[in-house]
Amino acid sequence: MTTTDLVLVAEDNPDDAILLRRAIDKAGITARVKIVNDGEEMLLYLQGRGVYTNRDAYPLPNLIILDLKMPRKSGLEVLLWMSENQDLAVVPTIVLSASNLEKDVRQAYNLGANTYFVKPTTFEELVSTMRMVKEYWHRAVRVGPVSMSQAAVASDGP
Amino acid sequence: MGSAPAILIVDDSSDDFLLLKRAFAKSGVANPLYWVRSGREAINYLSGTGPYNDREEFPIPSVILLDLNMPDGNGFDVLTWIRNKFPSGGLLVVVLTHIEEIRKINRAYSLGANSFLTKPGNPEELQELINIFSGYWLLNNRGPSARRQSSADHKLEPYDDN
Repeated sequence: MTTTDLVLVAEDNPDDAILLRRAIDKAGITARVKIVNDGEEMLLYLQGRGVYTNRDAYPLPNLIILDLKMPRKSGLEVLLWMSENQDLAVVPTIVLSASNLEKDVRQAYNLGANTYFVKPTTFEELVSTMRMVKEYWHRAVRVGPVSMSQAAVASDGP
Repeated sequence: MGSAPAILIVDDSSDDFLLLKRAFAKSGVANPLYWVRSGREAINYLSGTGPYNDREEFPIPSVILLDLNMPDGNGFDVLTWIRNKFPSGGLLVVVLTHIEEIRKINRAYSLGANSFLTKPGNPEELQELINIFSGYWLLNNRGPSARRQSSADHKLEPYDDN
């Protein structure tokens, strides 16, 4: 991930948000990081509504990290909305949840999550997970959401 | 089935399979590897038909590495079939294909691939890729337990905090 990339994070717990930002820094992820407080705010951001209407200031993300259990709108509701909007289908979405329940894992994947990580219990493990995220998604082929429409026309045809 | 979940490699190239097998071994991956050489064979494997009807011998994998360009049913046919029979919550599919196929990335994601990788040009880079792949998908990622699903699993259930 480069400095022009954006990682959009939804995390309602302020302590977890601070830890995650630190872990992302420590893992060497140089992309910008924007943290929103819950699923509702994540949807506002992705839809470009409310305070997020300016796409220059609030571009679509290249990677999404999503908590599941959040007030107002849960991570699953965000995933559901994303799954209905194909333009966002190529943005890698990583669930980072304290839940290790099979039901939550299944639902998240069914709704289009690319990856599901159970939240590590220590900061060191969180850094290690973020390092893994950096290395893996640096390798994996991604398509920026802004150029997707053009890419779709160029690649797949009708 | 053993304790480590199986990995199914769907690739018509025996050279590529051997390189992958070696790379997984060097990575210290203990998960059993299974290999099929065509799209049709992949569907037979996953549906447990023909020579694959013994689930002890041919377990449902937790991760599939899928080449896109194969004879006898291409990777997209397999991906479409998988997502009809095993919704995303049941099986992880990582496309691993030649760089020439990169233009098909959008289609792969929209058909439900979890990720899209291209085959590196030399064994050293392949080793590095498989090291990262193994750390990400086999050690850190919480994958779903493999089983067939009913359509009810698609529904968004009310959230509970238990």
